[in-house]
Amino acid sequence: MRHWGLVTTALLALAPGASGYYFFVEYLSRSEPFEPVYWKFDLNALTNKTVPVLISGEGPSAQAPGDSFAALASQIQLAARTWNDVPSSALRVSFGGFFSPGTPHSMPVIEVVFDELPPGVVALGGPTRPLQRPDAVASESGPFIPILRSTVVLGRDLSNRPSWSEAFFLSLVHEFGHTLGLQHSLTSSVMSTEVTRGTTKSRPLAPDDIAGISLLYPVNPTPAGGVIQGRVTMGGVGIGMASVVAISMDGAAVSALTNPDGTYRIQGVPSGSYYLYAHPLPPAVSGEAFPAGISLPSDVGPGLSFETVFFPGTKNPLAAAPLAVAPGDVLDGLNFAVTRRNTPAIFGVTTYSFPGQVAVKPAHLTVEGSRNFLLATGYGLTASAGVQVLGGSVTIPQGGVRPYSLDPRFLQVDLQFSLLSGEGVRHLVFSADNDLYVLPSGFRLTRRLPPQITGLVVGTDASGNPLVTLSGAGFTADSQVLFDGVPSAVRSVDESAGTITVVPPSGAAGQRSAVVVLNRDGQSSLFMQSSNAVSFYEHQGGELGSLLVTPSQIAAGTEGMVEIQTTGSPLTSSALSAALGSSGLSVRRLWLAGPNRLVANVVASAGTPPGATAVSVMNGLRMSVQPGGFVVTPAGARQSSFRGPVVAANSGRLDIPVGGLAQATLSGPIVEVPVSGLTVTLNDQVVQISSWVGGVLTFPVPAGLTPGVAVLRVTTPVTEAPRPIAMGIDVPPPVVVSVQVSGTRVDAARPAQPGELVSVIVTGLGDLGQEIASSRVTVQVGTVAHRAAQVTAQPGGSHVVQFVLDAAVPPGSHPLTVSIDGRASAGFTLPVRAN
Amino acid sequence: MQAVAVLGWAMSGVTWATTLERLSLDEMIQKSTAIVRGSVGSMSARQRGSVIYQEVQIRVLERLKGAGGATVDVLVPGGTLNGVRQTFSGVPQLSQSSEYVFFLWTGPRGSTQIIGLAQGVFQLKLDSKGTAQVQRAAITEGVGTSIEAITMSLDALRTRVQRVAGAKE
Repeated sequence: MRHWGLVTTALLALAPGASGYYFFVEYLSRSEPFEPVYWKFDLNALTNKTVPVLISGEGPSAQAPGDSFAALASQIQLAARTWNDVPSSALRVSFGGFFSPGTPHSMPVIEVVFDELPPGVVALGGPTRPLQRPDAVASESGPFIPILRSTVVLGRDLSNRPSWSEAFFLSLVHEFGHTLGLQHSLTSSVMSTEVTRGTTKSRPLAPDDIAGISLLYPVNPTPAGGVIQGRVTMGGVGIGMASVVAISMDGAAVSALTNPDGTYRIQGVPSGSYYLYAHPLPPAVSGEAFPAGISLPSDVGPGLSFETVFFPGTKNPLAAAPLAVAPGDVLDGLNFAVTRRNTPAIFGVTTYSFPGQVAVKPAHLTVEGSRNFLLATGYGLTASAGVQVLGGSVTIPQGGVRPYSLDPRFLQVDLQFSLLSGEGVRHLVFSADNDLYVLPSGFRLTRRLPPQITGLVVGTDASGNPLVTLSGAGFTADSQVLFDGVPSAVRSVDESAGTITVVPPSGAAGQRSAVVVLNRDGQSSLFMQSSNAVSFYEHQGGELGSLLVTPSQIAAGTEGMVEIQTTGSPLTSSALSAALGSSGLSVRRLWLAGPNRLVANVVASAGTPPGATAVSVMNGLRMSVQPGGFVVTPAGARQSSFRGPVVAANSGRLDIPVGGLAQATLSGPIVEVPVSGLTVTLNDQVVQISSWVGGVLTFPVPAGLTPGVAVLRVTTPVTEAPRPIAMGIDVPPPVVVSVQVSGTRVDAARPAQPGELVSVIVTGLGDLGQEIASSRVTVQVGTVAHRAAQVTAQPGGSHVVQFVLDAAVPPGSHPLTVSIDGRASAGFTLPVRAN
Repeated sequence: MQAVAVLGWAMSGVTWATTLERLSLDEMIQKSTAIVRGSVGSMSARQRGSVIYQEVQIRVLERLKGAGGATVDVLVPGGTLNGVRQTFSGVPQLSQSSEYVFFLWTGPRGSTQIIGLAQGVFQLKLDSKGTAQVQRAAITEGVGTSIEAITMSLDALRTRVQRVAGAKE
């Protein structure tokens, strides 16, 4: 899924590793110092640090009109990918297929199951861990307790819960957060309870969520950014489970809960200016067993309630002291002495707005809209409450807070803003009875109204492939169109005409997909169309048919290739996946090798229980599941196997061009066989072995192979051969033909000079006449990398790559290489003289 | 005015699909297949598919709605079994020394659960005059609600159940 860099944007606002969130926590001692230990997945116990999500093949018993199991499965996968796509988290989350409940799992897994849920319960999610707390596992980022598996429970009757709705999707993302080890937060993130959650389907994760998952599964052991720490006391005694929030005017809000001794530590705070405030957990409300629905660490109580206060001890946000934080800063001693209060005056506030006829939560207000007000409701919120917007540019006029005339249960808050007010979230502060309540991301200011679909027309392109053109308003160049949970490729957007044309994902005739437009500003077409009035697209394709897997079994502890044949309508390359329905089985890589043929490299972990599993293929909204279609056999006593993918020996790339050097790793008895006893073939063509040392096989990719997939076999008469493996054959790398400056060839007699515009004539960069974006091309001169300024196609098939020679390149002869999408040419000698 | 009126309708009709769906007292009465006053008896764990449930035996002292026997077995998600603990946020914590009013729902499979997790559990206490009071955590009726826990006498609850359940029937 394209995220428009929403994760990247969040990272700009908040570096990874900040403690904004809450985890499932244990304290290893009952006295100071209180070092928290978190429950989380052990990345070393996962294949490729990836926890698979398996969906129960039983499915729901009832769904909303127009909904389907395939649509629901696509939304589940989309929600799981939301967490997978956090670059600062080392944990990956992938779809592992469908399973039969009761299937034993040998490795950590997230199961999505369907069970009877009583009225009032939409979904449940959470981890499973050993009853007897094991010794904490040591890791670079600190000790932890491993999660064995996690479960998301959805109701069997989903007839009132359409899978395409904003709320259902966010519930899925929220529950997946629990399965990964996150508990509820209080900063309006997706891990907040639905009362205060301020994220949307278009922007499902807040900086706080990203910080939480990144601190739990850090890519780097040391979080970036600064640290804010201190202690919260009452009467001189430290109080636990108090929330301390660092809130910035640009929208980020991150927090930490205090340890039993009152100490807190907010890590990885990005550069910026923050206000700091301490607030108690809200009381447990109807439906919650504990405050904020947080499962408390054992032997830790829910904490005392107190009056919310800004640092350094003021209830006036305008008098609060801003804190400047830079990377590496440790701001210590930011302490709070709080005053006891039986219960907060106001808490649990929800805001709504009306861009159209649908109530949108949280409130989104548009500069170009006509309804400049929001509605708020919450515990203890009355018309006499004070309300202010934290940060400038948006104000509340005199008399702008009053009961909503059409429903006095809600408070109406009028807001004044203009084009100069900018975009983004704004925080709200409510005050009553000498107490404060801060609602981070109380509303979002946008420049445009939400996208709106008023019409849907089906057409075809020049090749007869289906196209869908949506008409309406609010479509932008960054708009994304979902068909259920599957993103579509955008062909064109006409903002002024209000149309967007996309290539729909494949679906079988009779299937309907809910069509939703998501905009980068956090808004979606669901803001204008209720879930009951969503636009549908009727698919016209053919079914996938049944599946045939060859070979249909694999021994535990080995990996290798399988072929999956489908019997129905041809497969397409977009939104294509295959899975094997067991936590011990993973598809390392998948190729579309023919209209009805898939080739996959499969890994069976050593502990995979023997037995049959379900094979599934999903292509767009088409789905085919073959229960029992694949069998895991017990591990052999002495079995040989490939280990890991075949890669380019020099670069580690997964696709190797003809003539390039490939490297494969093997294990087992075959490692003891001398090179003279091995026969290596690639697509049945014998290849020369360059080296065979310690189980590492190196060989050149022979001529005659076409780009795509090839089958690598290693055989020997000495012992049982390993299962064949598939490898990727790349297009040949580009070739540098010559280098010029101002039309003059660069050579020893006429070296290049830093600052000059250098032209490199290259073949093999792309097809004849193909336009190539300069962003795809880099030029390396010695150790200095250069961005391509321009790439121009030439008659005859070559391209000219122009770049400005960097001043950092010293005089002398340097290898020059041109790379496109990571494929690098051989070095071309470039002489350089001093300025 | 018509547009504004539609807004009002849209607001009051808003429900949101979430982990928990807030139910009013009247909704809980209508959706319950049984409402009982009772105490917690034995507890044991069982597994159904991938989910561990605590099977809680409730000793029925009074039935406010629905028919049944002297006990009712209720499934509560989460628990410990075979050396593992499965955790779900928001699950009610029941004490064997307390008396409660339970709003129960029996599904098509015949298993009985508590409506809305902790929403369907009201603790029973005696006030200073010895009158039985059912107590629930603060809920919102919107602007103007006090945040103190709302209590009502058991008699008042009985009357309300009869009115709401009787009106539906």
